[in-house]
Amino acid sequence: MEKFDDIGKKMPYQESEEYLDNLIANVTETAVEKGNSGRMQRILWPAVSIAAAAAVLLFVFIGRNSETPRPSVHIAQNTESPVDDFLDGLSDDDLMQLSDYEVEEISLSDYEEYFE
Amino acid sequence: MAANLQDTEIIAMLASDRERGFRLLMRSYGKALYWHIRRIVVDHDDAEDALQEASINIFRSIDSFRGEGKLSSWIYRIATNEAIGILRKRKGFFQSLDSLGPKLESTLEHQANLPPDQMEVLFQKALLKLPTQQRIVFNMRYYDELSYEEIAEATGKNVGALKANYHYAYEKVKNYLKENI
Repeated sequence: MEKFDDIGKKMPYQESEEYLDNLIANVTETAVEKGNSGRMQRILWPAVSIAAAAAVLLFVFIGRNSETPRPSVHIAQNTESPVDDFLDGLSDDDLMQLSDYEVEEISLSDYEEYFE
Repeated sequence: MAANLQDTEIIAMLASDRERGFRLLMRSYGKALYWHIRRIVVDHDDAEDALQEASINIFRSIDSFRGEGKLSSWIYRIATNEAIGILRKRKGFFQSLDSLGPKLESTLEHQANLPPDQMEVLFQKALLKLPTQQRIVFNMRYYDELSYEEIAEATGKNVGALKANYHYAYEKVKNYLKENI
């Protein structure tokens, strides 16, 4: 049997030197092009992400500090029902007496005078 | 190995002008990398794809090479990973890389410019019978003439294990050729 060195390092498939030179040149140019665009993306993405996060924080901060009254506060302040009027009209003694009633004992007929 | 320029010159060029340094690196190592990948994946188109991906990865991560190890080991590691990545795509989900042997042999026979009983073809067939890891170690040592230390850097294996791998591979190839010539 031939020794390994006698067999040599020749490959059973051959590509011409010219073909390989062109291949390497093309591969190199593509790598530079794609590598550079990828690099720009890697540089730009963190910057864009930070800018977006800063914009969101700024929006939230401005929203919290704006002087526009909150609608819910308005509604609460403007709500006045007949029951509120009735309760406002009671004296402390009446309120104490009212709170001592059992639920079933409460009857509006006892307080009809207040609604007249 | 087939580097035309000293690694130090390439590294110095990379430090001063990244693109020019990379072009120099590819001029020095490009063909060797192509053949290294081709010997692993066998198919020419797959070799081109893996070489392209490896080149992009080398260019993108060239800044991370700090010159602590050898440049050749670093680029061979990237190229080997890309070649193994191609083999992984070719195998079935539950198959091992080693099960690709018959498929790679068939590709070899289709793409070889020589008759199947020619020594060069038989030699490659013998290599395709080896486990993938052993085959890669054998190729790096026999064809690329890398030192065991360089192969250790490129593969992450220890030198003792690599020597054993090469020895077993050598014996298996020798026995295959004895039986088939």
